[in-house]
Amino acid sequence: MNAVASVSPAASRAQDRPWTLRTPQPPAIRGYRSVDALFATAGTERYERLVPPTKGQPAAKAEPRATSPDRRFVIEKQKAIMDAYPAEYVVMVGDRLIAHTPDKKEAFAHWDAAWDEAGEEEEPVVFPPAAARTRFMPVVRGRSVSPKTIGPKR
Amino acid sequence: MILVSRQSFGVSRYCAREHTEVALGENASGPVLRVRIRFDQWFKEKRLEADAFIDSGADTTLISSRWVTEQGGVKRRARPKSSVLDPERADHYLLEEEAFVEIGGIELSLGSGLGILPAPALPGYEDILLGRDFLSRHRLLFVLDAGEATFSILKPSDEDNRLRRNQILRALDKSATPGPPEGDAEQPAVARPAAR
Repeated sequence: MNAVASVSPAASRAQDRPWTLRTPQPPAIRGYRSVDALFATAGTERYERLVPPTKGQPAAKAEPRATSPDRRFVIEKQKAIMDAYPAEYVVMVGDRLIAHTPDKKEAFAHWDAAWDEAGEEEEPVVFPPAAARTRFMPVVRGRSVSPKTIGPKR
Repeated sequence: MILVSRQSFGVSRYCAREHTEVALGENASGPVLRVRIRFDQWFKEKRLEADAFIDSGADTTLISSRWVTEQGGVKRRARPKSSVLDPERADHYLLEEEAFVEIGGIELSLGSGLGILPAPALPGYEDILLGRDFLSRHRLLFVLDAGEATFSILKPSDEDNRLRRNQILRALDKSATPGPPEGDAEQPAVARPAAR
């Protein structure tokens, strides 16, 4: 194993993108710890529960994280393209950009057409403009409170 | 119109079938309601059965992705028209078409921009959470009677039901004097909650 290969993926990312170390940390929530130290989108940090679940309720299982190198590559590319067109809908299949347009109807027409080209493992995805991405916040109270949906306090 | 009249608490069918230990929990039963959901484009015109939890604690209405998957759509019909907000969470969708819920024979809009989330977000295993956004949109009166474990939903859209609503609010008003005239209906009977 060479020296490059021995560097952990997280450390490698930190070296490549030192500015991520200055990313504001997610807000602290009593009884939970953040599981998104790096690459967290503001306001959508995820938390693991530190205290036992309520009696009679099953503990929520951690959702599988996309850690494979291929998947990580696709995620990073999708993020980069989303960031490149912050005011537009972005249509992608895996790491391939299909279209970007400010018109929602047109974006979904591309999405609809892209299904014919998509393979078994990939499906077309529409990413909304940046303003819409922050519109939907996780539910923080009621039935839907769970470690995976707890959001920032307002 | 009275959409739901003193319906007993219950659990979702999915929860009873697949998670019996949760369904038998002391506080598992709640305001769960069998509804029919229609989407503007997905399965057009078809009304899909679902168990909804009336969640006054939820800021926004949510749809379970497990329920969406169970509808059996494949490829482009696998789910309603929706977008992905974050590539890191490719299983969290934002609904991009309008949806409607039918309660008591009345169809009410759910709007668009709802979340479609995986199961861990819905510990009660309901198919949909009808949140405070839905209650506010239709100005519904939601009455939960924990004493008899029932709930009711009133849509005060006609004169009879506006009177019913006012009677309930007057009865809850500590400062109300007995026998106020019906014509005083416009006076708010309860204080608005403090802004968050």
